[in-house]
Amino acid sequence: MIFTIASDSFDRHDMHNVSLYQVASVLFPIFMVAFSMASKSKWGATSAAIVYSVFLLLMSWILPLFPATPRLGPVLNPITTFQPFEFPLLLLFPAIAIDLITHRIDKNRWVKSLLYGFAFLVVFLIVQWPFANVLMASKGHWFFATSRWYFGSEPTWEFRYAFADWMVSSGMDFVIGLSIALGLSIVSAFVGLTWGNWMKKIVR
Amino acid sequence: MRKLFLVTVLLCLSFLADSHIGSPGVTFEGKAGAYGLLVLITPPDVIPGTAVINIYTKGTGVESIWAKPIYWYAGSKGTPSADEMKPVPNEPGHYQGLVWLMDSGTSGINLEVRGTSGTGQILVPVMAISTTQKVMPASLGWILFGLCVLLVVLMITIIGASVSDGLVKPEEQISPWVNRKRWIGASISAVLLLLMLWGGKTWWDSWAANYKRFLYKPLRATSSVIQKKGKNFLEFKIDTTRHANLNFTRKLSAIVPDHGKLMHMFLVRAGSMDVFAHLHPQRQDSSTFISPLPQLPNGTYLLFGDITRLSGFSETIPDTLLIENKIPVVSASVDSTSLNRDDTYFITNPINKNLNDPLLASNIVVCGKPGIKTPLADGSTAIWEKGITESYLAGKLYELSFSILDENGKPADLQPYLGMMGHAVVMKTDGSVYIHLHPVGSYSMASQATIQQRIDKETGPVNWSKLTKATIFMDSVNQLVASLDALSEDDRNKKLMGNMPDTADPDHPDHATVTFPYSFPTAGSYRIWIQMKRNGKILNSAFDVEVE
Repeated sequence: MIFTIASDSFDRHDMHNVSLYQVASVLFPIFMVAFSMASKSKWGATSAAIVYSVFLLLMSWILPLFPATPRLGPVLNPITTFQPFEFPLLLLFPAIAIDLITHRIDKNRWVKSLLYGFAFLVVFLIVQWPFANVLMASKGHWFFATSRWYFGSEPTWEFRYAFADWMVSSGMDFVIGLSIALGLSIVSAFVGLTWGNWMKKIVR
Repeated sequence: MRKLFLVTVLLCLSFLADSHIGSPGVTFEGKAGAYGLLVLITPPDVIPGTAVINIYTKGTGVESIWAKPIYWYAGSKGTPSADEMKPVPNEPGHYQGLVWLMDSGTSGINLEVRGTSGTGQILVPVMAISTTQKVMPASLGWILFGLCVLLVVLMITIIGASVSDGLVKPEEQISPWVNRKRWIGASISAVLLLLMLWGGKTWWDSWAANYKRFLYKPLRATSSVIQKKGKNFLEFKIDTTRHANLNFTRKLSAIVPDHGKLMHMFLVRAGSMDVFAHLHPQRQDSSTFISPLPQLPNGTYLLFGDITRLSGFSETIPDTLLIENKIPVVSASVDSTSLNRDDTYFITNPINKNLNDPLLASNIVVCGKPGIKTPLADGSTAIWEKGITESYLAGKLYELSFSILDENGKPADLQPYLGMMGHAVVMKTDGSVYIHLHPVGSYSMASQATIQQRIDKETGPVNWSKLTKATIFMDSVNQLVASLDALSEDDRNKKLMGNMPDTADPDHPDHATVTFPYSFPTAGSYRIWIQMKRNGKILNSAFDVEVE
């Protein structure tokens, strides 16, 4: 449910904007770190990210195979099938980083939170930011699930597969926004760490 | 008392202003192909929302009726498939259904009637705008609040237990320290949960604020009496502040004529409602309109300016005007003000006898009541045709029928006034309802024409880059209006009526009766002004009615 609410900020047009990284920094480290710490498997966060990615991909590939037409007006984009969901965020990469930290670093939880938080944001940013360009360039290819477009939106919009200036964070906005995201990521990782530790200790 | 009334009226105006004030229902009477229809559409007050459609068929042969929304900006291609309107049980000829309006803008409900005489279509314009913010019913609010408290308490208990008892092995004793941890955990989680709830509230409030930004706000205007060459003129300046949405749809430079006039303005004296004027201010620039002001009695007047745009968006701009004449009031027939041939005013008895103005006593036309004959200024008689036992109910669709009898009591021969057999204005006496009606219904006919034209000529969405430049558009519209004004009465009527659907009334071929479809929105007392034309002169009459 939380993901459904947050997915409002996870559109491909948001991928060059710090807001997406801030929302992701609140939402994901808490779960990833907790799973990484508490899972019986060695790769807790990675497995969770794989389940998320596969689920979203299957949904995005299967749904458009079924016919559907809008029954409400106005219809600017006359679609004929169900619409795919978004291509999954590349959470797999930061998840691997988080699991690696769990395996290799044995410090107190403050230091670990800092590392988790930092690793999540940096790895996620490094993969997701350039990948946004790939999504835009795919121009609606079924594999990337980028054909999705609300039936009431103009399909010929010039920024359907491009970033407008106002969508992209740059300069001081970018620096300040990412600093906030880093702080959020560290706090989220700390909460996740505490939660994960507790899950390991639970006895009844 | 009078001041209090005025303040109430102004408050009502600011809240209820709409494409028509306080009377959101759109009525239509006419033909779809071979089938006569009487239609009442109640648009949603929140977008997205549903329009409730009631159709009463006249005659036989109708097999099914289908409705779909058409948006001016989206064109016919942007229209979803039609939904069938279902027959209402035990009411032969009455069909009902819902149509969703997902976006704000100028829309029209397209009705398609299928039956033994083929298929007929008609388009009824509906302005899709959010005019109100819905409030959660108190009972639902309390139920949700109760559930929220329950969930929060449960969550705090779970967290409290999970950081204390949950970490103690089953066989171990619960120490005081473990109990302490329970309370610490519960307290911290309570603070965190409250923070989350507060975050949720902020998020909700930000959405509500965003919705409010896009809520329809009526245009505002400043009106004043100005002097030019010793004569009084009414100047109406529209505030051009940009609204958060519908910027093109409501653009002032895109005004198109309705019945050959850019603006239809009605003035009603506030409080007594005994003075009524119908003027057609001319455009000076895109936001300033000016009209010769007849010698109306002193007082504060409610002003309603009706306009329609290229987008088909029609709305009423309300204002008030204080008139303080030094010149004695005269009746319209001897008024020396050089009024346009289509402008008129007249004086009736006040709604409340205590407000009687002794100065006007000799000039007034007494308001009629349903079913009773009323003498008019030119010697003819007006009658509101109505069954004696019939009483008027709010929300019910009526065909209000008015007949004129000549001096000898025979049906009078009425002529078209501005291309229509009659115009009517309905106002509730508390000022909360104002609407301008025609025999075809309560919608703007220019609005219908412009949406229909879009559908007939183009299929896709509006090509914004191809729209005519504002200055050129305004200039050509000005020229069109001027050329219409220059025509003779007959030629102009031919031109104005040429593209209007079925203005002839088959039930009354004698042209002595005019019928207006209307549904009174709320119970209370109403005054209705009827304007027709006879012997080349505008014939005014007024009627009072109680609606239950």
